[in-house]
This record gives sequence, C-alpha cells and structure tokens, in this order.
Amino acid sequence: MGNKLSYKKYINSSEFYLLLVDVILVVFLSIYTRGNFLELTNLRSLVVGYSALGIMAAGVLVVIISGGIDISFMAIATIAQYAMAQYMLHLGGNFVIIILVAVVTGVALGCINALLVNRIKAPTLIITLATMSIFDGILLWATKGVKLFGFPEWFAVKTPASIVAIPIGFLVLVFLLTWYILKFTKMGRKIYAIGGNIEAARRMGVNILKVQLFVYAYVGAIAALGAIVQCYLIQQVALNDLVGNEMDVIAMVVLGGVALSGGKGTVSGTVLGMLLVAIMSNGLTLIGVSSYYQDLVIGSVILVSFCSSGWKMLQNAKKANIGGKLEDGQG
Amino acid sequence: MKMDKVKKVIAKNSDNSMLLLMLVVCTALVSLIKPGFFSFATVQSVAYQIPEMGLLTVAMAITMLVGGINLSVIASANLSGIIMALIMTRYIPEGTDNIPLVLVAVLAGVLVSVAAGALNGLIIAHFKIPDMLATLGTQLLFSGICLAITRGETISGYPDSFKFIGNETIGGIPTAIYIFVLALLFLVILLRNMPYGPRVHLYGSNKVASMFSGVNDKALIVKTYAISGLFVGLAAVILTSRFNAAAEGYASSYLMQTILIAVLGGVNPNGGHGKVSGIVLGVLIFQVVGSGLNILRLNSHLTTAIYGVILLLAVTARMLRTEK
Repeated sequence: MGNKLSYKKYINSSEFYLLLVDVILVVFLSIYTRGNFLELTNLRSLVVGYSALGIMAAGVLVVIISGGIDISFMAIATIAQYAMAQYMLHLGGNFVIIILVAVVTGVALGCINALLVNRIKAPTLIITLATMSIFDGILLWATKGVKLFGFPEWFAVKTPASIVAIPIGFLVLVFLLTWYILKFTKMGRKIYAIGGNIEAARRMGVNILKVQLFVYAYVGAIAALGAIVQCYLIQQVALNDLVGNEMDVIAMVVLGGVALSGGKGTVSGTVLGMLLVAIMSNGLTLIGVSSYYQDLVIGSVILVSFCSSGWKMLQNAKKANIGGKLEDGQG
Repeated sequence: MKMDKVKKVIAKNSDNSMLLLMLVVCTALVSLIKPGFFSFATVQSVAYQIPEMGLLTVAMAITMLVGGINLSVIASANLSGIIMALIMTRYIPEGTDNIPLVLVAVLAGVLVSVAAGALNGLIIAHFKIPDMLATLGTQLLFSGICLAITRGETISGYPDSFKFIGNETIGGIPTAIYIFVLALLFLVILLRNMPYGPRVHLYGSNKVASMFSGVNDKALIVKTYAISGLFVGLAAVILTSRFNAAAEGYASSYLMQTILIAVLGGVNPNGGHGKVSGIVLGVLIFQVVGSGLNILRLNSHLTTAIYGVILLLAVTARMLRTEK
C-alpha cells in the first residue's frame, strides 16, 4: 500500500513511526498484562468497541483528503440507524434490504451536505456543524428519544464467531473499497486534486460539485455502514450511542498522518491510527487506569502526535527549501 | 439634509443597520406573539444571559478574525470554573465569606483560561496545525483534565460574594453586564487604537501580504488566542457564579451558538472582517429569538434544529455580502 515508496523513504515516513508505536504498545501490553491483552475475550472486546468507529474513519479520511471536514457524520449514522431499525421492526426484510435502507439514508443526507458546501463558500466545519444540529434536532424531536430494540431473529442472532466476523468483514471491505477508490479510480485522483488546490483543480476541468457530491455521499454511506455494525453488536438503537464520538474518529484519521490541510493521506495510515486509538484505550482499561484519566491521556497523546507531525512537515518544507512559509500563508 | 446624513451612516454601516433592522423586527414579532414580552422581568432575565453568551462569542469571534476558530472555548471555560470552584470550596469554609480569597480564585480561573488560550496559539503558530484540529485536540485535553480533577462530580457551594457576580444587580443592572461592558471597551480599544487591530484585520484577510509587511504572525496568533482565553475566563467567572456549580461538560450546547452569533453578527469565518458592535447586536438578536422560541413552547430539540438553519442562513448571507 501507499505510494511507490522506497524502503528508505518508508522508514522516514510518519507512517512507519506510527507502526512502530503500535507494535511497541502491543508488545508492552502483552508483557505487562501477562498475555491478557492477547486473550480472545479482550481482542473481541477491542473489536466490538472500535469496529464501528473504525469503519467511519474510512469516510472521514476521504473528506479530509478532499480538503474539507464533516462532523455531521455521527448524526447521519444515527438517523440511518433509526431508519433501518424502524424498517426491521415494522417490515422485517433481510440483511441486504436494511443495508440498502441505511446506505440510501446516509447518501441522501450526505448529498445535502455536499450541496451546501458547494453553494456556500464558508468553512465546511461551520456548514456541517449547522447540518449536524439540524439532523440531531429533528431526529430527537421525531423520535422523542425512544430506544429501539427487539429486532427480528435473523438480525438478533449472535454467535461468538459472528461477533468478530461481521465487524471485521465490514471493516476490511470498507477499507479495501476506500483504498481502491483513492488509488485506482479517476474520482480518487480528483479527490486528491481538489484537496491539494481546489482552484487549480477547477481550472483543470474537474467538476467540483460532482466530486463534492461523491465525497459527502461517501461519508454518509460509510457512516451508515458503521451504524449497522454498531446496531448489530449492541442490538439496540439509541440516540447517544454514537453522537459525541466524532472527535475520536477524526483523531484516528489525523493520527494516521493525513496532511492536515487536505490533499494527502493514505488508507494504511488511517488503519494504523485507528489501531493506535483502539489499543491505547483498551490498554489503559486493562492496566487499570481509572476511566477518569483516560480522556486526559488520550487527549495528550493526540495533541503530541499532531504537533510532531506538524513539526515534521515544517522540517521537510525547510529541507526542500521551496518557500514553505509562503505556501503555508495561502492555506 | 438630515436624511442624507442618515443614508450615509447606513451605507457606511450596512451590516449593522441590517442587524438593527433584524433586531427590531424580531422584537416586534415576539411582542406580537406575547404582548407582555417587554416587561421588566423578561428584560432583566434576558440581561442576565447576555454577558456569558457575549463573552464566549467574542472569544470565538476574535479567532475567526484571523481566519481561525476556537473549538476549545467551552472546555476551557469549564476548566476555569472548576479551578475557581476548587480554590473556593477548599479554602473558604461553607457559610463564611472571604473576599480576598474569592478574588484570588477568580484571578486563578481567568489565568487558567488565558494560559489555555496561549497554548492553543502556540500549537497553531509554531506547529502550523490548522486551528480547527488544534483546538479540537485541546478541547479533548481540557475536558480530560476537568474529568481527572472532578472525577465526573459537580463542585458547588460558593461564598455569597462570588454568587453576587452572576446573580445580583447593581443599580438594577446585573453585575455581569458591567463586566461585559468593560471587557468590550477593552476589546474596542485594542482593535481600534492599538497596532494589534489593523494587524489582525490584515492577517485575516491576506496572510501573505501580512507577512511581507513585516507582521510577526506567530506572536499575533499567540496573542489572539490568549485574548480569546481571557474572554473565556471572564465568561467562566459569570457562568460558574450563575450556575453556582462547576463540572465537566457544562454548557456544551453553547459552542454552536457562539459560532452562530459570531457569523450572524457579521464576522467573516474566513477571516479579516468583523465588528464588536455587530457581535453585540448578534447577541441581542439571538437572545430575543431564543426567548421567542421559548414563549412558543417549541420543543427544545426543534430549537436546536432551528438554530442550525439560522446558522446556515447567516453564513450564506455573509458569503453573499463578501462576494459583492
């Protein structure tokens, strides 16, 4: 994966450091907990706890590469969850149908985001913040906060194998799809292009609206897939299960070495970033750190990692001597 | 003759005259819905809410002036509140009062926010991390610190002299209003009469030009975020006093509202443009609309959705005006 980096280049990349940190963490936790970390039950709880967020990270990666941000994806995921749960409870259906219901919901809401982002030339953060509160507000009002559960047999069946297989299956499929799109399709290259320099992309003849529609619809669709996995694992749909975890997902992606201003980023980096967040929080619980301190530890790690990747980018710009300062100024 | 003068003033302040018009229309609408709206009691209850919202909005808006955003305002306000609460509850026995110690607590709380703001600025300026990500990260850090200190509990029970700030009046006007007005005066002087003002506007509208004109952009950003922190700290004093409690996760709904008011008040989220008077008008409009929705007994969730729609409209209007 990644570009055709030579071995030496890879050693110097931030992705390699991330890999190193991941490996060191796993080895440390395995030794410190005398193998408890590697036990099946723990690995299972790791998967159950982080697969949904991990899936969504793939969508967030795409939108950050395109030079934007979407923080409404958790609200979209929750709406998709309610849509599919209502469908299951009232009409039954099967796995394929509920995936369709959820994904179509996600795509529709994502398209709303895309149109607004395209029309209003304001920071995407502010636009998706607005749509987030619109989606959230309407959902809360419409559902009155009720939880949904008691799904049909075919959805409620959980075996030790399926608890791991379904989330991992979705995760792998979503990441492979994202990798393929980013690397081998025209759309993928256009996403990088508008993230690097939207004006240049426009003059090159890229249809910006089309790319934005694809990007935000993709985030919506991927969020919906994450929502399905989440719903399957906990067998209930509630308002606060997903909303509020936006930052965790964004952190996973940014940890994975996405260029913070768009135009760069790889799927493999995001996978490593996702693993880091998941292993870190699981590990903190495992070695007995009180949950009250976990946010503090994770927050510090994320900040330090932001700073170090920012620092590295600056050093590289200096080394290349291409007037990094000027370029920064235009961002 | 007189009309010409009025027209000139309107043309010069077209943003603000629009806002003033909006304020009048909104107030008229709300008064129509509920004839008794303009009673002394409602005006006073609105007046109690203006300072905290206004200070937080200024904290947000000043970072928007340099083309940034500060998503850590609420987390940092909570951290300040918790520090103040800790000092007061630990060193002042319940039921007694100790004004010097209360002042120390307030000072410590404000300093914590200023330091938090400066930290934001340092990270953004020296590591070239986008404001949004840096402040999202510090938001996580600050609320992590809050949680570690309080272990999820609420700290309450303050001396009367502290409660006075957020809950009492001087000459019929809430004490907090005086703090708000003084802070605004400070801001106006800073933006109008100090070299800081033009630099902020220049940097916000054209970073490259600002660099070539010799502005020290790193110092400017650190300063801006530290000032943002100062306003957060003042807001924290009022919030903590009014709630009579401090905890992690308080007032989290305010974050979107401060962005909304700032944009509504004419601050360009892409930087460079914004007026203190506009922000004040924005706060007033927001409070009137808020009380109007409250009077209509509208479901609070729908209110959130409506605020989202208003934010979209405000941002669209702002962008249309800038394009002209």
